[in-house]
Amino acid sequence: MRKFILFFCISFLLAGCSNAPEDLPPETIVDNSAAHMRSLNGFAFKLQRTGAPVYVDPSGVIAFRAAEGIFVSPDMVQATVKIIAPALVAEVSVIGIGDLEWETNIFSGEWALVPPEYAFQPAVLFAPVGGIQQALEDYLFDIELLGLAELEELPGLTLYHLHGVMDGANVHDLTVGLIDEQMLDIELWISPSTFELHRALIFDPPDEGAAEGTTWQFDFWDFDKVIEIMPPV
Amino acid sequence: MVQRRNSAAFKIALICLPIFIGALDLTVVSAVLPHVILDLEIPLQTGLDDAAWLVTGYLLAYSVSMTFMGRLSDLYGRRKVFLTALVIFAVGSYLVAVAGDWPTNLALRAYYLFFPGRPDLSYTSLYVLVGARMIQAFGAGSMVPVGMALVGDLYPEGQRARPLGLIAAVDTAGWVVGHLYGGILVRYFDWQTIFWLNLPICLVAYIVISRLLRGGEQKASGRMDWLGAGLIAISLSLLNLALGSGSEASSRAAFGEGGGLNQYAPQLGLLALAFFGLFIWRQQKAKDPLIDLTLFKRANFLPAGLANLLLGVGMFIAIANVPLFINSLIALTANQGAWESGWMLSALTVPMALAAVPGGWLTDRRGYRFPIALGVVLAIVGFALMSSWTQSSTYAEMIPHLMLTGIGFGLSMAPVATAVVNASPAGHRGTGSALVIVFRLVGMTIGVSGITTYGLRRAEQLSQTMFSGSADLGEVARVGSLIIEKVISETFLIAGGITALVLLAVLFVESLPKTGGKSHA
Repeated sequence: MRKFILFFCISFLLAGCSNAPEDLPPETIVDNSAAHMRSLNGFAFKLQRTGAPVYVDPSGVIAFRAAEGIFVSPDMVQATVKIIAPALVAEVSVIGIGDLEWETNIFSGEWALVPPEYAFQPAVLFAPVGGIQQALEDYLFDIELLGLAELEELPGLTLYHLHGVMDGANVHDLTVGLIDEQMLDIELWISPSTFELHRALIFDPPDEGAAEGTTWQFDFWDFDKVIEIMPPV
Repeated sequence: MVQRRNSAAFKIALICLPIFIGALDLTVVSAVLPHVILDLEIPLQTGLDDAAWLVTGYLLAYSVSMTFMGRLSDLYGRRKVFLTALVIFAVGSYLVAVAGDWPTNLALRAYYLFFPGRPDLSYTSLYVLVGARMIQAFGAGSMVPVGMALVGDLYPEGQRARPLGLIAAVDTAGWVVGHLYGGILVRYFDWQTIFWLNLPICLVAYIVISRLLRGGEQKASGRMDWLGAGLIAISLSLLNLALGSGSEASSRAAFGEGGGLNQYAPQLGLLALAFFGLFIWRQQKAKDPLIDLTLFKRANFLPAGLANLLLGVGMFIAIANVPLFINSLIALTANQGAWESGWMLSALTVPMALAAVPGGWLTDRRGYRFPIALGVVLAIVGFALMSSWTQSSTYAEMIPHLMLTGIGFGLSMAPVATAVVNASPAGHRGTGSALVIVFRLVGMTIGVSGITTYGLRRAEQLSQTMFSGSADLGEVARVGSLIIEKVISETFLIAGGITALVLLAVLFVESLPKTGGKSHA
């Protein structure tokens, strides 16, 4: 009995000492997370599109599927972009340094400098100033904490699960037009201890007359990881 | 006596059904591969080499299981081992059909437990699918030697050639028509249906065969040579890795991810040889070896076996590259490609099966050398003609070339197989028959691995010189097609060259059959 009381008291004290994660206002959680992500030297990311296809070429033939790589602050990225054309799935390697971006030819694998209007620019997308992290901090509203949740990819790690709304116009240019200029539902999974943003889901509603919308899933890991990124030879 | 023979024939006929289905699934993948690649979103540049494992993985597991499951059935009973093989095949078929669902999720969850990062879903699904195909193949391959060993139980010595030939022929017939079966099915259903269909067939086969083979079973004494089985499995796997390790695309290497296994190909090849040497050593030392090595000392066995292996290489290059040519350069959709590839490959495989009959007839009258040499020459001419195909070639032009190649293979396959079986002493015909298939399967495995590696490397090499760096998609597609056309043309010439090597092996085959045994497919 004495042991039970002792255990109860310790548990009570520990609970009282710790800041229950739910205590923070959801806006603060998002602000803290955005600030933390902007302060990192780099991170690994994966961006996946599901649902309605989003085309990256003016003729509407080549659809964006996914991009995975490493971002190094403030403006360098190395990634592999997966695209889907009729009867063909291909990968394009991308290196972005500042305003310059190189891509590989689908068939020959040779590197070529890409005009900015042609490129999917992850270096711009994740830039500490003006990137998606800042957009979340500045433009996300109606933020609510849905609760604590685990991601399948991170077993055992409890995360804040939040929901908010953002006007797509704020990220339309940032994503080179991949995300539409309409109201977007956004869900975030943020670590309560480090404020690392592990996942962001952006729901782009269907266009008029379209059967389905597009879901963009951003995953982040290897926080503060830095690699050397050089222009392709 | 007649009733007993009929009962034995009925049993053999029944076990031929799952053997046929298992062999069918070996080449069915040539029809479904483009669908799988698109479904799983496997990238063109980095994924084709891995996707080829759907074929080579099956061939590998099929060949490996054939080397020792016959012996296992000696020790544990034909019924038990055959039914276990059938269940393994059914489980593998189920896993292939659902590979993209819970097995992939399970693999991802297991990955997340131990590693950070996000593995590529496409590749995870592909690797799960390859694993499932290998399970399927292990079961399918196991049924062949067990079926052959069953012949030894059911028929007296002297009467075994015909049922053994039947099993070998059914096995060959399975992979000969697999592409057509797949082409027809994927025209109307999704590719998973092919594998779902195996399940009711396996269930019926299980119920009937379990009742039919009940009772009166004799088990041999002795031990299973697990070490030998392990050594041959490792050797064949390493050989596959060595052959398939040269084709990583430049985009991976560009990110400093290394050339994968690329740089280790020679070492892997040497390791494969070393393990094969260990296997031979083990077979010499083992009290109950898997393969009686004295077979290889008998006249005709080794040269005919090598000839069979080389024919397997050439044949599978044709079987793999005809669908590739049609899918890449002629068909507009994956469905159209599967359908037309299936029919066009029949122009190769049906004459091949039919020509086995005159091949056997010629063997009985002229000995082994004449039909083998005649067949090989026809196949070489066929390959030379196939190497002239362009994007504008019509099916009417291509069919005679395929038929000529098929007739050539058909004429030479029967005498080569018969030479191997006839070289085996009476008590080892089952092993001899199984080795006929193993030789060919190993050849097919080498063919598909080698040609995938060559094709991808050559395409990469050509694209460095042929692409102008233009961003115009039309121009990129035009040059890409030219590259594919050129690479496939070269592979047909290589197949012709490899087939020509059979003529060298034939020089060491005695010209007349040693016994008056029947010809085998």
